Amino acid sequence: MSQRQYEILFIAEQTLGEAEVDTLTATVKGFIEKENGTVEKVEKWGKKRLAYPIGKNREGSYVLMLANSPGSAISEVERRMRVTDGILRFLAIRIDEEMKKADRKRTIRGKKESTRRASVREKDRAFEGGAQ
Amino acid sequence: MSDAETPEFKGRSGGEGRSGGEGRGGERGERGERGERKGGGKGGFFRRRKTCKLCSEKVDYVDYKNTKLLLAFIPERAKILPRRMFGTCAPCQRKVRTAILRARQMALIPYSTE
Repeated sequence: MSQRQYEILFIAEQTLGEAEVDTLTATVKGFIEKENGTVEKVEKWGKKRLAYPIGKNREGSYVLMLANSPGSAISEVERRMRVTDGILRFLAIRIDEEMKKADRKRTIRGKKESTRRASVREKDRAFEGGAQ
Repeated sequence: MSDAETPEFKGRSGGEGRSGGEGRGGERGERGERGERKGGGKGGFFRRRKTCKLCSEKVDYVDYKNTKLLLAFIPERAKILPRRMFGTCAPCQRKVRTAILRARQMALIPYSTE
């Protein structure tokens, strides 16, 4: 099964302490690993003020995860997150294609730069050659 | 500036067509002159061409987590403004839109401000 890269961000309720957020993160990690996925990176943003209140929460703890998992698994992970207490919101998006596109753009730009520089160098050389 | 003046000019000529009054005849020459001046002004009118900010700054991936970037596209009332306001190219505006919608969902940026 082909693995795809996903980025999962979720907001934990403001009443949860840091330890509870950690256990929640572990739970979500468990969801992903259960579906033959792997968690590459976990990034905790800590408590942040929400742009608008969600329910009674004015702030929430953000946790960002990078996961590699088969595409079919993510719907199950999402379903489980939906029924998990303590998660206010979550967003799981596929990013491998976007990253590939960005990389491609970057390499094309790099090539353009180098060819330009090469042509400039050639011109310089030609100029110097003419001067001698 | 030229945009602001054009409707006024049109409105005046429309009024003339309707009434065709003698009293306005004196104005006509003036208006004609004005029209000429305007025509001349249009060619020399300097308006900075807006370019796509994202393309020129080489943003490859518009990330919904990058609130600083996204907030630039939703001034005042936190509404996404049309492309003509920023000069963003169509693909970039589409990316910005998606990113804003995602960031709003995750309460990173507001849906609206009071």
